[in-house]
Amino acid sequence: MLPHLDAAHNLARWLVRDPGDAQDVVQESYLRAFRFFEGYRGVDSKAWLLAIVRNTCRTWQRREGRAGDAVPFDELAHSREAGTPDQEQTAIQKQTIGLLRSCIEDLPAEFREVLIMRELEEMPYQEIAAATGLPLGTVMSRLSRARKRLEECAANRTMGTAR
Amino acid sequence: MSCSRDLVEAYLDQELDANERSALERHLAICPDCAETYARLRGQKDNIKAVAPYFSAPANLRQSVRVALGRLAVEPQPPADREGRWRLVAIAASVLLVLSLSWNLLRLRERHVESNLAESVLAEHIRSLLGTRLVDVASSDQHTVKPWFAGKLDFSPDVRDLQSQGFPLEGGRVDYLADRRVAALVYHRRLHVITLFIWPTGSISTTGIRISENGYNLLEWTNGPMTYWAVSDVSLGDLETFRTLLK
Repeated sequence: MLPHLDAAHNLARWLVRDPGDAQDVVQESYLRAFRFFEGYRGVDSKAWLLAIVRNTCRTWQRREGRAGDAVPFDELAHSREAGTPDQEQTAIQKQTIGLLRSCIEDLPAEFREVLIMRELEEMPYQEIAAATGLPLGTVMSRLSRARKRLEECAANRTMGTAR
Repeated sequence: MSCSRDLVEAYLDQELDANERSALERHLAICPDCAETYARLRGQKDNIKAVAPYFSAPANLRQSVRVALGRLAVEPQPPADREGRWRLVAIAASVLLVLSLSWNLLRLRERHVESNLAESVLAEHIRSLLGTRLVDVASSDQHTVKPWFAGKLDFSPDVRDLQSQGFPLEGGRVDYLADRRVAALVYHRRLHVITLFIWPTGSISTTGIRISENGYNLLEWTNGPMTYWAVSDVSLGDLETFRTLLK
């Protein structure tokens, strides 16, 4: 069995965005985890693995020569959401939801990663700090700024569509 | 107490301890500004969960990672001699072992909320010893202590003085644990303090937990509809006697 594979894939998918690239990143990450296993110091293994995924994403994007933010986000190929569309959703709700999601996708990577780790992986601050190599205070302030940006982004875009 | 957005966020992210949580909850009840911030952030959090898909790993990925790892383990590595190759196989095996062990531990921790609860119980006990407030109602008379809880709790805890058995009751207070108000009764055993927390058994019923940590012992049991946690630095034997007397 491969532990943390879902977490690794989810993070890679949100960071590199392309489904195929995300799978390649995950595979490469597990190979790196294997090679650098001697660097494993008995910290939380999930944080350790996600740190490798995060670094692999960065290397990947550098190698592919893109910032990662310019790639169009592919629609949910393997998401939990897929296959259960809520037909009852009103047009307005759909619009707001689409807005918030595109706002998350447009967050700069350093904000997006902490937000995904906190809100989707539900990792405690301490674990996020271990996975990102950031001090605890920086994790908290990035998370806070990510949320502020989301609020502003959603508000701006709502105004934009209302006009 | 002042209330900052940061604090509200830490509260929503479940990063506050029981005392900070209850202080913030009291504050939210009386401060419309903070309550508004809370409602807004709570809404955002819920919306993110609703709109941001969690991309679980597709089945074929699991397979291809496994194959790649297997290939790496048997492939002759450039500097690796025969011995080195076996070392790699061993490392590959231990990587998977350690990852799956800690993964299982994490799962276990998630499943067993009580370990967090035990930590909170111990923290509340230690905090009460550090502070000046051991009890809010000081009385060894169970007929004084029990009615004191009326109106402060949504249940009526069973209060018994065990003076004649060597566990005199000092009094009681209300604490905040497991996301609810709970009764805390303070007993003595010679020079030691025992805190007994009581609350109605919730949906998560655990029973018979027994933990020793840093010189403290914790016992948990249920009796009828109530959950009991006893925590103290007395010996486990003394604490078990205490439990037997109460049961």
